[in-house]
Amino acid sequence: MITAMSKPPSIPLPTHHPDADLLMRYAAGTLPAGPALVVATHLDFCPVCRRQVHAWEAVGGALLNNQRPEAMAEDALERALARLDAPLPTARMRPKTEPKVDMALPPALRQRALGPWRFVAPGIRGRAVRVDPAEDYKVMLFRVGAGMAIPTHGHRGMEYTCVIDGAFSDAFGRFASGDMAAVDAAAEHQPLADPDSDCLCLIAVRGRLRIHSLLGRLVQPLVGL
Amino acid sequence: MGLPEAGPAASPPASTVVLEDVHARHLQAIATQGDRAAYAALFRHYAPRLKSYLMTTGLPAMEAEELAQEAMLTIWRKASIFDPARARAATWIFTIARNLRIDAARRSRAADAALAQESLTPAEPEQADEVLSALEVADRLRATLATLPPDQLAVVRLSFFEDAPHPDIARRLGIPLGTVKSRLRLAMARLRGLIDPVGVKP
Ligand SMILES: [Zn+2]
Repeated sequence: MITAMSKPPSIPLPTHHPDADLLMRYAAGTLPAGPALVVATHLDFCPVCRRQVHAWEAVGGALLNNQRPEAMAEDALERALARLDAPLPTARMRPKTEPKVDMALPPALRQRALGPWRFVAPGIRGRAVRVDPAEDYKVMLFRVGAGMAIPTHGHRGMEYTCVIDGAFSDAFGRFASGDMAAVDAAAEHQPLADPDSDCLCLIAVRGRLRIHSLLGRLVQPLVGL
Repeated sequence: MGLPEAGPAASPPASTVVLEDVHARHLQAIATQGDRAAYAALFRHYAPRLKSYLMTTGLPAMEAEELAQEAMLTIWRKASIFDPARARAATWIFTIARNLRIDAARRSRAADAALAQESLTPAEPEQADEVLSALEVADRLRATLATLPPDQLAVVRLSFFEDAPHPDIARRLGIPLGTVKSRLRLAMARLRGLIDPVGVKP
C-alpha cells in the first residue's frame, strides 16, 4: 500500500523547540546566519514550528501592507515592465567540483559548503559548516562517540544546538533527533552523548568554540576546523 | 438580508482580506497569462511598500529601491509557485523580499550565500488541515494588527523588521524606554497567543 501512504513512516516529533522569539526573528530574517541555520535544521524535523514560522511570516506580510509607502523613482514602473522580457539569468556557472549531497543530512544542510571531517578529540570528529563570517558565528557539525561529552561553549552569548541523529542528555533534559537547545554559554551544563550510540549534532556559537573535557578542567580550543 | 451595507469603517480586517484576494488573483493572472496590467497593479501597491520595508531594515534609499525592483521581478518570475491555498499574497511577497535582503547582505560581504531561499522556506507540503488553519491564523493576525493603535504598531514594526534594540526604538520614536517595553509586551503577547494558542512550547 505504498501509494496510499501520505507520509513516510513518521519519526517522533521533537520535544525541545526554539522559543517564540527565535522563531519570530527567523521568520523576520533578522536572526544571524549561524542560529538561523540551526533553527532551519530544527524546522526540517518539526511541523509545529514550521507552522509558527509561517504565522510570523504572515505578520511580516501584514506589516508590509501597513508600511507607509516610500515613493519609487518616477520611471520605476516603466523600468520594471521593460525588464520583464529580459532572458532569465543563465544558470549559475558549474562549480569546479560537483558538490556531494549528503542525503543523510536534513535539507537545510544539504546545500551548505562543508569542511572535511577532522579529528577533534578521542571519539569526536567535527566539520565546519560555512556561514557568513562577518556575523561572528562559528557553525560545526560534530559526530560524538557514545557516552562522550559534546563540545559546546563559545566565549559569550548563546549557543545553539540541534541534534540530527542519536541523542545527548544534560541538565536540561534529553535531546534526540530534531531537538533544539539554545543556552547561554555561561550556563553550567555538560551534554553527554547517549551511552549506546553516536550523536550527530549541529552547533552554532559566537566566537571560538571550545571543548570541555569530562573533568571540566582541560579546555582545548578548537582551531583550524 | 435587507441589512444596510456595512460602512467603510465597519470592518477594516474584512476589506484587507478582499485586497489580499485581489492580489492573489493578480499573481495567478501573471502566472497563467503573463498579465502585465495585473503586474503593474501589484507593482503600484507593493513596490513603494517594499522600498519602505527595506529602508526600515537599514538600507539606504537607492539600494532599497533597487532591491524592491529585484523583488518585483522575482514576483513576476515566480508567480506560478504562489499557492493561494497555502499563503496570503502579502505573506509570500514579504518572504521574497526578506530572502533577497538576506542574500544581498551576505553577498555584499562576499560570503557564501547558499542559505538562500531553499533553506529558509521549508518546501515540504503540509497537511491540508494545517494549511487551512494557517490561512485562518494569518487572517486573525492581520486583524489583530489592524486593531493596534498606530503608536503600538510602530514599535512592533521596528522590532519585527529590524530586531532593533529597545533603547534604539525609544530614541527613534521619541518615547521612553519603559513605554517601548510595555507596548511590545502587550502586542507580542497578543500575537503569540494566536500563533501558539495552546502554549505547546515555553
Ligand atoms: Zn519545533
